[in-house]
Amino acid sequence: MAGRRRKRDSPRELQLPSGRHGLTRNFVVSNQRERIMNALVATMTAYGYGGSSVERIAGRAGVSRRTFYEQFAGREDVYLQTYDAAAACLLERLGAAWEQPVEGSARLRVFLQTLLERIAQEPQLARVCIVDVLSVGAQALEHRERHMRDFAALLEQGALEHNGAPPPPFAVDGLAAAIFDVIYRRVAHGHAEELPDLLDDLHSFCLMLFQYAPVPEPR
Amino acid sequence: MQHSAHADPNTLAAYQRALDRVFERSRELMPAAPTWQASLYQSLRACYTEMHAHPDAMRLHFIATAEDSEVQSTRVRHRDRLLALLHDTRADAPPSLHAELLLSMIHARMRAQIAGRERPPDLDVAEHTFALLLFHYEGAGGAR
Repeated sequence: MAGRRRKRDSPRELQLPSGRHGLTRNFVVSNQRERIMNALVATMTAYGYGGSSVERIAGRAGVSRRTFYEQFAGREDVYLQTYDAAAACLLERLGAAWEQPVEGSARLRVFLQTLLERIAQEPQLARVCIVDVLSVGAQALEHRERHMRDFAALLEQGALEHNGAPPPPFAVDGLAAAIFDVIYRRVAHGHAEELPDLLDDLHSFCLMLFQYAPVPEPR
Repeated sequence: MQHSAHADPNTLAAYQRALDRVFERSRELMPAAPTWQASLYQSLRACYTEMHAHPDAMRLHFIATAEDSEVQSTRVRHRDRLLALLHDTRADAPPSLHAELLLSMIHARMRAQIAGRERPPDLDVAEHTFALLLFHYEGAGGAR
């Protein structure tokens, strides 16, 4: 619309020119999906999940309702796909962190640094995925459980490589949950930028857990 | 569809009152304990005793907290004040992030034990979980 100024971070910045542009159908679809997913994050940041109607998301993305529904089944579908994509990207980077050519506890440090820095770099996405997931519904919680299990498995793999033996059985699941509890608190309070400052204490805590042998639990 | 599994206001208010009782008890117990581990152990024991006596509060504290943002906020506020109490009353307190992680790990462990059973574990099983983490933390080199 003439005279309306766009926000610099608006997903509309990614909007393709209208009319004949010679782009492939796949490229256009991919671009539309990316804009819709970015628009979901921006809209949820402003209005929460409850206030993020399809109209608002589509308007922010610069697509029609029809195009929206060609790409996604609805608001929850966009959320779940955005959530899964963000989690997959983070888990891939964390997996790569274990492959770094460093020795001993330095590898664990790289892993934790990657986790804290990646989440701190995208505070809006972090809030949408870590805090607002509680408002979305049962399916989103199932997705979260699955990604948490994947995260715990990565942590266990790292602990195994670090120790040459499996970590204490309670340690990995409990630690994965505790790390995300700590992250949740900072992100929920709008302090995601503080996460990298936790690295030293988080690293020393994880090292201690991985290294000691606990007494067996009673049945 | 908006997720509808939110605690009703009365249940949430009763949960808050249960947490307030735990906090008041902790204010008495924590300064008097011989070590910071013992002080957290006693506070956790008081919490589990309170929750065991109030099954709705138990459900919110360990199960609904992972699904309901209001319950999660209530529990996190309570944890924050317990951590502040620990550091205000104990000169021997560990690094604050370590204490926060320990409490979260114990909570996650208890949650797993409660979610997997028809009835919540008895106090002696819960006590073992508290001790497992708290008293081995120092043995593993923590808070030196």
